[in-house]
Amino acid sequence: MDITNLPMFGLIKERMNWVGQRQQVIAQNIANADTPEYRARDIKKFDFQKTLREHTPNSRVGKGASMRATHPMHLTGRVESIAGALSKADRKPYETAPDGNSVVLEEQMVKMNEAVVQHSAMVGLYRKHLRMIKLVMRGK
Amino acid sequence: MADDLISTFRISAAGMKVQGSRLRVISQNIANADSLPTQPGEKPYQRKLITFKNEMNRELGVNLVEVNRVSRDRSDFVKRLDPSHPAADKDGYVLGPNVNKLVEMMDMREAQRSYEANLSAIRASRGMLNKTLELLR
Repeated sequence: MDITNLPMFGLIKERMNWVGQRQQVIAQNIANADTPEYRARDIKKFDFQKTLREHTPNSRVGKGASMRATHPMHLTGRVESIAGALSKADRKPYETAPDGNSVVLEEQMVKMNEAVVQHSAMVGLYRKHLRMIKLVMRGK
Repeated sequence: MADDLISTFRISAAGMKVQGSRLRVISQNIANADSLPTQPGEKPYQRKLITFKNEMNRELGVNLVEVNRVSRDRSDFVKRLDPSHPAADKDGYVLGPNVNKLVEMMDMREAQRSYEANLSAIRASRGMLNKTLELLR
């Protein structure tokens, strides 16, 4: 077990990343609450099983597949805003206004609160895990 | 992750800014609700409308909401009977602005609500960022 690359921290980091991206998408929706023809967007659900598999040592899948650049002209495929690229227009919005806008502020507020709670859960877990490691190192 | 949350601030700030512009247009409409013409044949104040659009900001790499354009409301003017008015036509009618104060009030409430929603989005992101930073302590 490598102390600098614990699977637990990797999982938490991934989850926090996802929550941050979702928060960005929600803020986008709220900012566009009055933009005509704007469709509310959301990000794909967090796939815990897949992430767990990727972060478990000795797994065959290993770290997420990324393409290798063998030439300086190769593009790495990184996009500026990951959240923007991963988010999709919500297929079944609560309602759509006559101007084609499907943002419901209440719905977005609920989602935002979800993100805040999930984020603080992750921070709490991170801290707990860190404390456990410290406890082991101190040995008392 | 921090990048995502920081760009959230910019997105919400842009949202607040357009709602501010919207409030400006609304207050202009309300202030001019009684701006009548001074001569017969002249037009009174015409109501203004504001629309938004979501534009890609190349510098940040995210979409920010912007004011699309401020246009004029082409609906009919209100006719009032006031033969003593200098702008009255030969039948004694004066054209009044097509501003409905009730509609403007509702628009104002909506703008206020959207503004507050953006503000609470900023607050939530700030809370998340602060919590993450507290891990350093």
